Amino acid sequence: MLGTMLRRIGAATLPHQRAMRTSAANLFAEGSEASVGSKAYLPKFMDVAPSGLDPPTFQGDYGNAPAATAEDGTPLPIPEKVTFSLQLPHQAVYSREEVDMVLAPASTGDFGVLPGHVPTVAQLKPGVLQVHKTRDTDVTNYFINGGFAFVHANGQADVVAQECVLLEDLDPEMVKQGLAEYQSKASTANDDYERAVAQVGVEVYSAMQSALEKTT
Amino acid sequence: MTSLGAFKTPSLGFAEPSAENKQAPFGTRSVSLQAVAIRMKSVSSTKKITSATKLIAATKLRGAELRSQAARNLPTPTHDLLGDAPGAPVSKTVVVPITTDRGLCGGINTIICKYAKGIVALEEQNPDGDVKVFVVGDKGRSQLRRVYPDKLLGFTQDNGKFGGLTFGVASLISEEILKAEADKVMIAYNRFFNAAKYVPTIATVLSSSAAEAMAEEGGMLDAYELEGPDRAEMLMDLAEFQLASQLYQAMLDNSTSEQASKMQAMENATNNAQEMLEKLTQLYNRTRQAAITTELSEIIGGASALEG
Repeated sequence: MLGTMLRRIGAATLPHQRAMRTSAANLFAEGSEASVGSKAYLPKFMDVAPSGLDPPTFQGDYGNAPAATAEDGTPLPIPEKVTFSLQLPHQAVYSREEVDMVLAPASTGDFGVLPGHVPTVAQLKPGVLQVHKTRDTDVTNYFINGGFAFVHANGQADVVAQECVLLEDLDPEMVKQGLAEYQSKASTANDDYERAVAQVGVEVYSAMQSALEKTT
Repeated sequence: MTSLGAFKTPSLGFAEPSAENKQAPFGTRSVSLQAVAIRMKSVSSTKKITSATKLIAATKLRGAELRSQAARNLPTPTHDLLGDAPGAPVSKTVVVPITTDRGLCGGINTIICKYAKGIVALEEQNPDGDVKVFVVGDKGRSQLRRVYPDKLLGFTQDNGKFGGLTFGVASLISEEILKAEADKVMIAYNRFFNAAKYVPTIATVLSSSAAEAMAEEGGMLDAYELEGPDRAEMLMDLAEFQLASQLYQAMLDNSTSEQASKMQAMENATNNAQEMLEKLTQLYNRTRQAAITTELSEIIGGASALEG
C-alpha cells in the first residue's frame, strides 16, 4: 500500500520517469506491471501449480530490450554507429554488428537508419535491404521478402524477415520467368487463395526485377 | 523331468526353493541356469538398444542445437517491443504445451504438462475467463486429453517428420491456434541451455487488442513511430508474427532439449543395464560353479565309498 502510494507520488512529481523504464519486464506502467508482469505472475502460479515444481522462467527474462535513456533519466548520447541485427528463422545474418547505415524497404517507402534515428517500428515489403558497413564504400545489398524493422532509441536496429538473399545472387532470367509465371497464374486464378498466392508472387518478383534494374 | 515353468525366473540372488521345487528330480539346477542365461541375453540386448539410442540422440543433438541457436533471437525484437505479460487479465486464453512425439526421453514431457496444468489452474480462477489447451506433440496429448477432455482445442504431432521443422510449419500451427481468437496464448516449452540443462519456460503472446489495452495502460509502444498500414492492422500483423516466431523458437528449443534429455536418460538406462548384467553374470557363474562342485564331491564321495 505504502509502496503504491510512494510510486504514485513519484510518478506525479517526475513525469519523465516512466520513459526510462523500457526493458521488457518493465514495459507497463508501475501499477499495471505489478499485476500482469512475470514477477507478479510467478507467486500466483506457484500457488496453484502441482507441488514439487521448480519455478519456471519467462520469455521476458531472455529479452534484450534496450534502454531509451540513461540510468539518471537523461537521454542517451547519439551513438557513433548503428547496432544492427538481421534475423531469419534459420539464420542470424547479422547479430548486433556495428554498421554506419541501413536502408530498409518499409511498406510506406524506403527509409534509412542512421545513428540517432527516431524510435520506429516498420512493416517491410519485398525489396532491397542495404547495409552500409562503412557509408557508401562497403555496402552489401540483400533482397528480403518483407518482415519488420525495429529501431530503438539507443541506435539498435533489428530486422526480422523470413528469407533474404544477396542481390547479386539473383538471376535476372529466372526472375523474368518467375514474374511471367505468376502473372499468368494471377489471370487464371479460380479462387481467393490462388489469387492471393499469385498476387504475392507477382509482388515479390516485380520487386526483384525493379531491384535488379536499379543496380545494372 | 521338470519343465521350466516349475521354476520362478530367478530374480537377483537365489530364490528359496519352494515345496514343489524340493520334490523336483535331481539335476534341475541346470534349468535355473538356463533361465538366468535367457535373462542375461534380454538385458544385454536392451543395453544395446539404449546405448544405440543414446548415440543417435548425441548425433542429433548437435544439429538441433545449431538450428535452435540460429533461431534464438527470432521472437526477441517483437517480444521486447510488446512486452511479457503472463498475468494479463483477458477473457480467453489458449495454453500451448510443447511436448515430444517419441518417448524414451526422460521426464521433459511430464514436466511441461505439469506447468500447463498450473497455467490452466491459474486462468480458471478468473470467473469469466475461458481457457483452452492446444497440444503440440503426441506425448503431451496422451497425458492431457484425459485431464481436459472439454478444454482440448486440438493437437498436432510429427511436425518435424516431413522435411524438417520449418518456419512454415510453425506458421501453419499458429494459424490453427489463431482460429480460437484467444486474447492470450501461453506457450510452455523446455528452453535449451546445454546438454545437461534445460529450463521450463513460459512465453506469453498477446493478441493485438490485448496488446493495445496493455499499451494504453502505459506501454512504451507510444514511444515508437509506426511505419506501415494503420495502427490496428499493423499491431495485428505484429502479434501474428510474434506468435509464429515464438512458436518456431519454442519448438526448436524443445526438440533440442528432447535430444539432450534422451541422451541423458539413455545413458542412465545403459548404465543400469550394465549393472544388472554384471550381477546376472555373477549369479550365473556362481550357480554353475556350485553345480560342478556338488557333482565333483558326489563323485569323490562315491569313489571313496567303493574303495572303503
